[in-house]
Amino acid sequence: MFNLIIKDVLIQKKQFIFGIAYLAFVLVAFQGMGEAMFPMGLVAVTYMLSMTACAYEEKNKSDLLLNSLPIKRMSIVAAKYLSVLIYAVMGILSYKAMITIINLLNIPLKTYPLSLEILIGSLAAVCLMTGIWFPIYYKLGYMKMRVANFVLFFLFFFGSSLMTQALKSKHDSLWVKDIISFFNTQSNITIVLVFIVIIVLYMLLSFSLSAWFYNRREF
Amino acid sequence: MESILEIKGLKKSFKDFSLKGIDITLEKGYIMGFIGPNGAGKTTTIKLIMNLMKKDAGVIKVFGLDNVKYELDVKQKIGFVYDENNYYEELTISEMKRIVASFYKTWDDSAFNKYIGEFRLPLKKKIKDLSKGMKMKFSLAVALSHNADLLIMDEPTSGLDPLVRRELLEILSQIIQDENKAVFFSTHITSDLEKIADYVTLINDGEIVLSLEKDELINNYGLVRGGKELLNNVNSKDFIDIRENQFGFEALVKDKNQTRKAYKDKIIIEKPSLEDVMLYYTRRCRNV
Amino acid sequence: MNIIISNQSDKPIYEQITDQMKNLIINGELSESELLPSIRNLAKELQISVITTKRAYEELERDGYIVSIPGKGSYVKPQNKELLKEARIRIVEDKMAEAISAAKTINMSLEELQQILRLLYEEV
Repeated sequence: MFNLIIKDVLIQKKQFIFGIAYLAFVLVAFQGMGEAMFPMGLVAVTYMLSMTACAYEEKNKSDLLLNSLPIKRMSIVAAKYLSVLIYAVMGILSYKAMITIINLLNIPLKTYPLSLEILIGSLAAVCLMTGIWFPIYYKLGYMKMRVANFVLFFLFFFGSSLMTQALKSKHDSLWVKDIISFFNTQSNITIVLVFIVIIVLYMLLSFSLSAWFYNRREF
Repeated sequence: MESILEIKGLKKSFKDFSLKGIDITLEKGYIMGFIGPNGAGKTTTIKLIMNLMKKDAGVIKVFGLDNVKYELDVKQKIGFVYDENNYYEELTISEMKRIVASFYKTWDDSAFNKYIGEFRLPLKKKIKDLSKGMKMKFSLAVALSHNADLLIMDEPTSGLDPLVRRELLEILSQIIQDENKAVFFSTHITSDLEKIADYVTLINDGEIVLSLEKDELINNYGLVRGGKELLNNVNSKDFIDIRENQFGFEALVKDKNQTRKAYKDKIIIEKPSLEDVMLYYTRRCRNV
Repeated sequence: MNIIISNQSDKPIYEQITDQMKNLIINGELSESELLPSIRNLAKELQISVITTKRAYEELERDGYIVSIPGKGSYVKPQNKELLKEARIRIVEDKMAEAISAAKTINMSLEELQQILRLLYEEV
């Protein structure tokens, strides 16, 4: 399985350089976004890398190859999920390196140190996204998935603004209050932990769905 | 004799095509040619063996083991070569090898290097820059480097020049010098099998039309030519299919000795090529 | 040792092999107890199927020309040269009888037949 991840990294040498360049671009161009620039940049980069990895699978028809080798289908899916983590770690490291360089050379750019909240928030955003689109990819294949993603993208944006509005209007309702009061009474650590548990469960669910779909695919 | 590949009552339906319960048995130590026109079900059969598709019914046993239940064990011992390159075009030969090798317990690097040398493959070249023949040879090198006992090939020679095709045949006869190994070779270019195949299985429209020793086919079957007047009192059961033209007829018969006895020197009988056999059977199915 | 195969010939390939091997044995080109090429090796070299060479060896064994020892290979069986020659003579006699009966159907005289025989003998 480790070698499947290596493979995804090897076939994307060019994309990795592009990814780092993109992060650098974000650092310069989105100065106004403040701390939010990093989660946005990281989501964009991991999304791009995992999309290209899948595009290459499609282009090479490698499902035929991988499934003819003695590999469990579940491992093929698991490798894809883990590779996203690798992309994220690489993104974090290169961002850290860039901040360090900027500060060392006294380049006149505002930098925001990576706080734990931002780090976890960024990873959560990455998970939220991959968790949705991987099952779609394993169900429909790359070409159809791209269409589905387009739709999803819009739903996500409109949906989130609608949801915020809905929540605001129901500010007084009981269960919203309950949730708010729950978070207010808990320590930061507990909130982070609950958050992490939710994300992990969400990813496990997503993975099981993907594996289930992929097991049923025919090539 | 131990069968290395055993298929019984294999069924698979699609919207516009179905495999209608096919049977195939291949003993170890031999090469079986799996022939038939395009779209007859060759690739579907191979995909079912490799568990790339799910069968609707039937049994597939490789090395005596169920191919789904013991999928990973079975695949450890199968070498495969497909008609199209499915390796990552962006990787070099040595990068791709490293990844593929990691999945086989019995990967033999020295065997791989030997084939790379024999096939004159450039290790540092990206797969997308290889010619079609070189890509096939790379697949073959991978297929032969993990001590596979069964080599499954789906149209490996399509689009290759005669020189490379001949080389492949020589390699295959080299492989079965080890009597524990076997080759299952699908192709619509039947001349590839004319020489070295031990068994021939003909599939048409999802059904096995015949499956027997190639020698039996070449030595017993006959391509008959004669005048049309003979056709009037012919028992059409003797003839697999008849093709008439303005000046006579040509037909395929199962037992050329019997035909010779019946028509003596009124006809000419020749050895059929596998292509003749395939064409006559396929056409018969279309006519019926 | 030479074995030359024709793909065009009407004679099955296994028969071409057995005929040529028998000749090699009778002429002494293959000596007694000599190890023959393995079935698989012969198939590889001639680029023919294993079943063909296997059948050829089986026929040779059945006709008493070779012995096969499992796991070791096939050897030329020690032959009684006289008996062998007699067998070959019998084949010649059979073929001649065939020619004679063909000649008789067109009322060919013995003299005419002898003449043809002499001509052919010098030619072949």
